[in-house]
Amino acid sequence: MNSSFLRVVFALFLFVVLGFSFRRIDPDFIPLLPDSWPKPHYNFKKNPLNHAKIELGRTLFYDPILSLDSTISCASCHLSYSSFTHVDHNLSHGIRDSIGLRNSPVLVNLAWSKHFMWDGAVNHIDVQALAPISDAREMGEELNHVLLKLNKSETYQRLFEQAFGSSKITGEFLLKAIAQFQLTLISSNSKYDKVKRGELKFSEQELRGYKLFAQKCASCHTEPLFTNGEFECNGLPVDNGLKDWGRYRITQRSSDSLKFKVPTLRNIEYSYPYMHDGRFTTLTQVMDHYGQGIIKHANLSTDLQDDYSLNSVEKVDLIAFLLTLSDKEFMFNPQFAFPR
Amino acid sequence: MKSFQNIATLIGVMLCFLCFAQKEDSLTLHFQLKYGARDLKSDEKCEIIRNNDTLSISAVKFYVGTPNESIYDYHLVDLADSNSLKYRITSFVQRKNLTLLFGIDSVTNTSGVFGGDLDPSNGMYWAWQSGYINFKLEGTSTACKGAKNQFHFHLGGYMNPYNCIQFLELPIIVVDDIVTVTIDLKVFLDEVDLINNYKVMSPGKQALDMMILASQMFRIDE
Repeated sequence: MNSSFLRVVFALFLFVVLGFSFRRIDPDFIPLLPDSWPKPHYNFKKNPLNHAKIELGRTLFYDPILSLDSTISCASCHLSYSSFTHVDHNLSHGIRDSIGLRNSPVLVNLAWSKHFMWDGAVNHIDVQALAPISDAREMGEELNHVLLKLNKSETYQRLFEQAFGSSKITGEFLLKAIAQFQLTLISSNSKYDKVKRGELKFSEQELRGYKLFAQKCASCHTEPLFTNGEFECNGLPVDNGLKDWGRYRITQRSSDSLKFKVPTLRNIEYSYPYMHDGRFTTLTQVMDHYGQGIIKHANLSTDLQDDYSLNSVEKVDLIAFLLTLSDKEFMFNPQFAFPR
Repeated sequence: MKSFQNIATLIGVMLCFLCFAQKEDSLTLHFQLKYGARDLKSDEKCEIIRNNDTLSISAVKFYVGTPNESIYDYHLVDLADSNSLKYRITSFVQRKNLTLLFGIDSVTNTSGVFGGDLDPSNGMYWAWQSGYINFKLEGTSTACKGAKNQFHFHLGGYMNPYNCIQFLELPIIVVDDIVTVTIDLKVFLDEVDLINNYKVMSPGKQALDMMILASQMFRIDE
């Protein structure tokens, strides 16, 4: 054999070996973050997004395998078409028609959140899914049993192998995958956003409503996220049936009694009913509460003290502005919907 | 000649520094779970007859941590898993005392999900609110007023003023690179009123007080 032939064979051999030794590396997915927004709270370096993990997370989000009797998925209470909330339900229901204690919040712009759940029971999105999975009134499952079911599935073994490089499915991988999908749920293309970018203009009424919003609402529902991410008491009468003391349940501090996390107002047109217990079915009822219904609890937000009120014209203008926060592109984005 | 002497002096000084520098070493902690003089074993039923009741211990799990530069390495000790009773520390710096964390620090508690010993599937992470259970002790006492005479202590909490992690400094005795750490449950159970106070499963003052008590279970024996 001549040396040229040997060189060609050796080169081919090297090519084959190198080809098998390089795994296809899924490039990091960089979410499109609006330029003018504050920096996300989430540390993406610790759990870099990539397509395989996001798609795995989406598959899990829509799979009732996470529940004890395989009837309830995350999407059962968080529907994409209503900004990932449980529309038309004041309190969500889980397995065996169990009724929960609280209204399902929207899942929007979670990368900017510091606290999760109405009372901040969860301090990091990576561990949030544990709460509904384990709640007897929601999915009623145990994490280890969920892992047992997933580890028996060849499909999930393959998906986890692609995403995390291991077919052994652990609690860490499961929770990180779900979090990755949730972190992609960014809503930033409402009419309000387009006005801010100079692409559209408010109507006169919407503009009046926006100016009023800045005076009356923005201290808690701060732009551009429309929440300051903190806990406030907004003067709702106590529901003597639910007896929900909010943040106090977690901190045991009396100064936290009746405080709940300020929700975002994005897509509020579609996320009824409203408040932590879904007591208001329309935005008009919400306005009536802020206009004339505030109870001066001991922990009432300082921004709602001192003769805070709204007249009938102000209420209508505010609602007109709130409707500009609807982002249909977000709600009907096929990348967030049921995977096909 | 002079430059050679300078170089030799410099090398000599560097060697001295190396000799006296703190040496990082590895060490194996051997955890011995006891009730008084009695060893608790994973494959034996732990029944203890006391003056006023009969105790049975069904679960003992807790986290210990060791400093590793700016972070902590954590290990889960589980009576039911005999492999967990040995823990090799690779970043041990030789000192008179062993620094041991009993529980998980607040930064780790607020940094999301982890794998390995910290994986939530180990049954040491609260689902209903974020946070690790530092010390889990379950069993029965014939005097206990709880259902089926059961007691459950799931002690955790990272938020002030009820951050209940305990920092232990134990005078160290090393034999063949092994340190035997005894955890004597009698120290804890003798002080707890199992008749009336048989369940603590959320953060708060009670959990903090009990963790302080539980930290006294640890000692290093020859």
